[in-house]
Amino acid sequence: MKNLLLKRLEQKLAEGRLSGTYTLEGVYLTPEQVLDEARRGTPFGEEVLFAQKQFMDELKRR
Amino acid sequence: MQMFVRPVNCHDCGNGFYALGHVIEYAQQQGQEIIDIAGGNANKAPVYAAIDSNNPTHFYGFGHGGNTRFTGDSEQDIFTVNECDKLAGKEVYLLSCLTANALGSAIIQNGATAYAGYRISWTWVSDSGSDGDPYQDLYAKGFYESANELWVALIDGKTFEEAVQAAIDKYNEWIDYWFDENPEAPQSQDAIMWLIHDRNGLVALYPGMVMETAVNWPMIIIGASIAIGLAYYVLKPAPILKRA
Repeated sequence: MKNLLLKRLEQKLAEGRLSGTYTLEGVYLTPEQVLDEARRGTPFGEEVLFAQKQFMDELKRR
Repeated sequence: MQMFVRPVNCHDCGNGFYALGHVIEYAQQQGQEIIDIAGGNANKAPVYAAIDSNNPTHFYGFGHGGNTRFTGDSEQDIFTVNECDKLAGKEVYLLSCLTANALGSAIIQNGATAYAGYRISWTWVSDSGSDGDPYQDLYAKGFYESANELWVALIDGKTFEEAVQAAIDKYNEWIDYWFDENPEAPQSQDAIMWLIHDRNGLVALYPGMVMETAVNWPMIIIGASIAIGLAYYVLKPAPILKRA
């Protein structure tokens, strides 16, 4: 599952559809850094993967 | 009386500062009495002094946060799990990262009548940076308008529970907007993704409730001890048997 989510994030980056993110932890991440966090499995990276999963679940639901 | 705390000089705090400005303006239009602790005043000492002298019934704070802390303009702590009794007797909403994981429970345990906040890193997308008014940004507006809806609903006289639902409804409106009305926008998918993330991360706590995902240090320590013990048992060298 993690690989599938990472692949989707990589695809979005290649398509220019992965956005940079701001968080109220005080860090701005570029799209490349968002993907890097997800690859490294940092706490925020885990949130990125979970967010992508929730998005895909919502797509299926619709 | 409602008290708003909105720092501006912390990292990426401009959007939140101006977003709360919209709520303050709305409250004033409704003739409500408010205290606006803004910019450089949004730090511990001025916040505590304002609480002591005004005793607000509602506390609305925007700023950086973590599991155990909520910070101000200087990014120094305003409230922590060990120091949040100033919020006793108040309805509290913190637009911040992660505070629902431990600080929220501490706020309730210290006497607040209700708490809402986020158990996730509250994340947003912006096309124009983080300094200006997010209501002028195609992407950022949905995030801040949804988060603000909780305050707006309370100003409108809704109960805390209804206000939390109003915020969730507003997140859903924006998710529908990106799905149905503007799906071709370059960042529409990520806008939806993070709106869902923020919506699902919104948590309300009331006296008598315990946050399910709160950091439970005793259980973590017990669990880690068991794991280490098992690992030692499995990995330790087998005893060498010798014949006498």
